[in-house]
Amino acid sequence: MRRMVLGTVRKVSPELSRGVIEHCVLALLSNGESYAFEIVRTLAAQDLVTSEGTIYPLLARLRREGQVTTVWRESDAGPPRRYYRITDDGRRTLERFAADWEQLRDAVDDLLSGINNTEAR
Amino acid sequence: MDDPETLVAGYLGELEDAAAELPPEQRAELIGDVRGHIDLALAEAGALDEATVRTVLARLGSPEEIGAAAADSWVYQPVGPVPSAGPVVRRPRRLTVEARALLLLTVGAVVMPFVGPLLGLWIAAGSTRWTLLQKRTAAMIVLVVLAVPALVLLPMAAAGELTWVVTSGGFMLPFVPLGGWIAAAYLVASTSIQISVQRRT
Repeated sequence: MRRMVLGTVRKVSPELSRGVIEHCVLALLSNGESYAFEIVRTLAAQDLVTSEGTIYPLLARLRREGQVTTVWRESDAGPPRRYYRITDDGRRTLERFAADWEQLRDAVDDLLSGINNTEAR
Repeated sequence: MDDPETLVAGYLGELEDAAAELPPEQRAELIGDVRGHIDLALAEAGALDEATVRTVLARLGSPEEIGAAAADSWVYQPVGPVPSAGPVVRRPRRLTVEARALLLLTVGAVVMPFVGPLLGLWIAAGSTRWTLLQKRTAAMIVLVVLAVPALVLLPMAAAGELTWVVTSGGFMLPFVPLGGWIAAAYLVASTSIQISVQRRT
């Protein structure tokens, strides 16, 4: 079977990652509270975020929607930081997304493997 | 070559324009968030030369991109006020936390002896601009200087020298607002020193 090799690591297209990133943020926060800089650096390390600044409007929206809450904490170095914590609403959203994602992933995987098989023939 | 400070200010200015459609509070918060991000990223990089600043700003993305993301996320909002097309009502600009704290430490120390500076410290604790070290140092200054008149007058009063307290104790009066003044001066000076040190490095 022929392998499709893309070569260089490419950032995920914005169209595709829209709607996914916010759930990645919720998933990160489900492991414990964090501050924006840490969140964005974790996502960027996995090539999930291209423009780090766009995380801030997203975090503001999650807060307005009540998916996360925030609390200011003093920091040993520099000014205080705003920490984000997932709420029960956020956890429910995350659970729904996890189920949707699984379904979507399986369906897309099925279709993509169909493409690969046809090409291999 | 551009001064790093100018680059950052220019970037934040463009962001302010790009986010012009946001309600004022959201816009101010966004700009504060991004400013904090730049500070952290520069501190992490440990350098403040032009190339480092440009890299940090490039990683943030263009101001237009962030502004668009903000406008986008505002549209999504399920409840709450929607920016209306009607005439913009400009609310009077409120004093920042820092300005209120400084006012209480200086003017408040005279108008409300003892209580004013303590209130000022209380408000300063909520500042997101000053560090924990600055807040603690300011509190120490106020408490130590307030302790001077208390330590002199209270034992005299306890010893029954009430006449002395009322007549000669007056020379202690300047000490009462002094702590607040020194603390306020310290907060202002240490903040501006931080900024100029960052600039020079």
